[in-house]
Amino acid sequence: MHNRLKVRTTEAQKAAADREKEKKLQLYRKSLKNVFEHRSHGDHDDLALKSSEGLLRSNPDIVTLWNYRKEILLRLNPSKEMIEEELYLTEKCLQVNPKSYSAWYHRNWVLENVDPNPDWNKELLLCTKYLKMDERNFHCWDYRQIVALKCQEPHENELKFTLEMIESNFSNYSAWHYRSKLFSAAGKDEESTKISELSLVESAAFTDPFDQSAWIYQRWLIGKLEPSKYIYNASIIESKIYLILNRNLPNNYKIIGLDNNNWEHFDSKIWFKEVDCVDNIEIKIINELNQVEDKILINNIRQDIFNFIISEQLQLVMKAQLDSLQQLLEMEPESKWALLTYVLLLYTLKPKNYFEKCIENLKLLKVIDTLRKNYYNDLESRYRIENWIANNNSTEFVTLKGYGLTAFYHMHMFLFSKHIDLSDNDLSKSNLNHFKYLTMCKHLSLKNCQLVNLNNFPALQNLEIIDLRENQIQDTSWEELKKCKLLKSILVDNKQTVTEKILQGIIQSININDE
Amino acid sequence: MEDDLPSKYEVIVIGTGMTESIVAAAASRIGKRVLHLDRNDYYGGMWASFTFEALQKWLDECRNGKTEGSVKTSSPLVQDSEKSVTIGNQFSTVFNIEEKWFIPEKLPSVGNLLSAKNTQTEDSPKESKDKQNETEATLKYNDKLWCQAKLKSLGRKFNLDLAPKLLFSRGTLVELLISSNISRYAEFRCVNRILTWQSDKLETVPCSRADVFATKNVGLIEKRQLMQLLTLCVEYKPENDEFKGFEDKTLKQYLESKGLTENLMHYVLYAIAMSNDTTPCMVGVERTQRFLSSLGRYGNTPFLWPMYGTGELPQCFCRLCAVFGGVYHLKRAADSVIVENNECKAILSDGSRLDCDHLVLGVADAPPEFLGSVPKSGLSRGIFIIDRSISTTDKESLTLLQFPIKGKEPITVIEAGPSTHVCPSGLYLLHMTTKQIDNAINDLKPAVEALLHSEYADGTTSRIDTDTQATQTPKEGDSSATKTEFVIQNEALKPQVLYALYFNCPETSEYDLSQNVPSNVHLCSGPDLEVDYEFAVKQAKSIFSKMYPDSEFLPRAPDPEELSLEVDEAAGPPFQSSEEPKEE
Repeated sequence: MHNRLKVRTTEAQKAAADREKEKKLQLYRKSLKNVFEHRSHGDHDDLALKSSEGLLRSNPDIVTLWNYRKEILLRLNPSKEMIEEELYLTEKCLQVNPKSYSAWYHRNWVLENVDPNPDWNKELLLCTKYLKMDERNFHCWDYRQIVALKCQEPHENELKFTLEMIESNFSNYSAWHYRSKLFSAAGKDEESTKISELSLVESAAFTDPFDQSAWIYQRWLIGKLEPSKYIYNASIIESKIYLILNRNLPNNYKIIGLDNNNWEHFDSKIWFKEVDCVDNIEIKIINELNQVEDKILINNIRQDIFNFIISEQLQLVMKAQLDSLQQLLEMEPESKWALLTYVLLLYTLKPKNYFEKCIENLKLLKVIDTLRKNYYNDLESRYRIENWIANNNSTEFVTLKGYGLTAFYHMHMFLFSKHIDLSDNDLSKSNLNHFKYLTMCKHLSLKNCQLVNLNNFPALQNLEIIDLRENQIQDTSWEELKKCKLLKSILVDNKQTVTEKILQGIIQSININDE
Repeated sequence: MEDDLPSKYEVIVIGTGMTESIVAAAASRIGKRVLHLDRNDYYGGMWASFTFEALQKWLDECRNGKTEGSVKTSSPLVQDSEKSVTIGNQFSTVFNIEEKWFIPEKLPSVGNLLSAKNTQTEDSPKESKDKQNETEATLKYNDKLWCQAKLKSLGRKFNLDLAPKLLFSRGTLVELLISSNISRYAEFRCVNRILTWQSDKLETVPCSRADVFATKNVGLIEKRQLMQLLTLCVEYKPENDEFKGFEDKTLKQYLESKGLTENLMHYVLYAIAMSNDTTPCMVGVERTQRFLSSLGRYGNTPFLWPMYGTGELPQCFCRLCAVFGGVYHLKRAADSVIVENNECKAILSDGSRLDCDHLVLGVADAPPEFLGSVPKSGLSRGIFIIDRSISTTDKESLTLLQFPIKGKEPITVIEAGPSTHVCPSGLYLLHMTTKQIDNAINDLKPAVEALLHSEYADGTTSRIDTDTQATQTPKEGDSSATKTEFVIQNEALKPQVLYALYFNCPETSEYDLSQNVPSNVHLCSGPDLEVDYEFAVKQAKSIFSKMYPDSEFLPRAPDPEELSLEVDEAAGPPFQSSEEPKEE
């Protein structure tokens, strides 16, 4: 037969491809050299601009070349056509690499700095088109945020767009995230927003409880609830009044209640000032508009400090969510996201027996999601500590013995504690520096806490007795205790390798108790 | 007769139906000399797509039968030891053809309308003004009214399929098109909507994750149940016990055991598993798996639809066959098959003897004695040209609906619009296919009555405007729309049938076609009942492997840049790459 088609062999193909590649490489090197020559000559003309175009088209991530273009464009005072061309170049580059940081940035830069009449509406359409092709390109989502702001696109339209994207594939962190941004920016109507958003998340949860994206968004929705009060405790100790807050005091907030406003602070949760003699003084926290955000009488302690302010309407919705989560868990007992969200909701709403239920479900979570066991341990620690605080009207004697704690939370709330028993917990992964708030503590028990060292142990000025029995602390870290000047007694046992000599070096007025 | 065709081939294929074309391509691809004949002036046979005019011509031929050339029983080309077997008549297999128009031949002119109105009403200045407005409205409205003349004038914009079928996105045909590199010859569009008929109305079936998430038709618990069930089916492997005890039960019984709501049962059974009340459980599971595994590859449903109609597909394979040297001759009939000792030696065509090692024949062209007792019936088909979609949304949809019929096979309904280039804009094409029980009209009646407005429309009845119908649907809580009003309005929203065609044709997929043929003759079925092409591909593969057991079936065809032309003697024009050189 004549003229039959013949298929090239793979070796021939490979050789041809290699030759092609080598040719390309030569060209690439030559062009790059050419551009840098232009730059070193200080060329800022059209020719110089042209020189980097081909290179960027094949590799849009050479930031230096983009910067050179910026230099040229700023000097050239470019015409409308040139700007068009520059934008077209970025478009072409983004086709090569849709996730090129520098190409996205350059496009934005041109529109903001060179283009006298940037058409942001066109950009928005472009983003829409782009996101329809690749719905999870976060570069484009980021760019869209900038663009939507520039062309003052109404929030409703953007929300509608994100909803559309979520409906076509809800496994889209960027789209959910943009929604949260839009709601935060709008600021109003938060309540009704939350209600409708929660039902959206619910739908995602039942469709695919193992997809994380919607759960994260739900956490943002619930997490946005502010705890109800600022002040945990106001007490006078040794002619100083102390104010212990539940969260950081915003910069423009003020504390009012005594003759002057010269409050000092330990950190932004502990405030204090010298006083002579005060009775029944009310301390207030006011915001920038002079509205009272919180107030408390001296020598009061607020046990309900961890309760949240939730409107009745939202409470109803959240309770409904709790019910539907329970149903979901009956169908999918191993869905960790459902389980975790259930715990978080339960803890937020605090219905009857919530604490026991939370602990029980956290236990389950540790079994089905062993990789995040420590995270759940820490969460449990927080819940347990908060629960202790909610159930005690004085912090003078704190007993957290055998709570299974792995981390410390709210240690500043124990500022006035004299005796703290933390024995039988697992503090092997904790940073002991958290104890820095226990400045009034005289007796601290860390017995059987799986400690292997005392690194970062803070200087506790009132500490007299520390119980360190049943730990395996290394010799080298005992020195840390030297910072506690009043320390009189260290309880150790023969499990420790520590020698009496070392201990003698730490505390002068030796009272080593070795049972 | 003068004939410049070479006279010796390794494979002669008669008929350009789907299976025949795949076999032709596969044989040509491995270097066999292939001759591919079709007596028609179009490709595809019973798999063809027609313009409106071509459809009319086809119908005429079916009604009249084709005039047969006188076939000589003895010919100098046939040796004594050989027997000449006359080829069959493709058109004698199409029955019960019913063609109906529902619109006038021509639209009444505006003048006529006006005078008709004049006789009814007394003139008063106010009315006359009203009338004027009315006339203007009519004039405008005429654009949206259809008559036979107008439809025929747009006849070239139709691609009316004799065998409408869809491709599973991960079905064997899609994989074959990709692996053989034939996909470059075709364009596809995703089916974007699966509908079902439940409680006397059309509902969109949530079949993908996104659908389940977005749908408001099912509750939260149902969403989970549905997803759980679908996951179960996707992940099912024979070694797990999920379906234990249901091996000899129906899918319906299994679904009932899972405590699904009626709503979900319906979606799963009729739409996703594409089954009915009697489908065995494991068959249903397999179908569900097939459905689900094709989801999300190209779109939100598992199906692709070929642009310009399904008739394009056989042509794609023919094109590959030709690229690798296959010889094509349309409008060329084979007259008889020459058989010796239960072996086909050659065919006679237009007075020439064409020798072959293998003969591949479509059933439509097969001599009656090769067919034996192959059934002459099987499929009930309906083609409807309608003036709007059966369920309008703001975007044009491409729809599959398995219309359930109690106790019987469902009616497969495919609706395609102008963007797939199968009909002019403003119209939709509705295909119905089901198993023949009685005849096409009666078999398809339930779906036609439920979905379509098939009364004669004289072109003056005011119909709700297609463009605005979406906004006309009464909103929930709209107190003014009582239930009766809603039903009436619904009736008015149904698409008007402009033209309907019914016919029956044979379905031979369940019949062993190798029973009565010479050893090297291979018969190919016509279109089968299933919605996809699995059967045709499977049959083509098995025919190919019978002919060439040791050769690869349609290996990847090289791209133009991978080819070089080997020139022996007289050099032809150099081979030119059809693709533009790539940008640097």
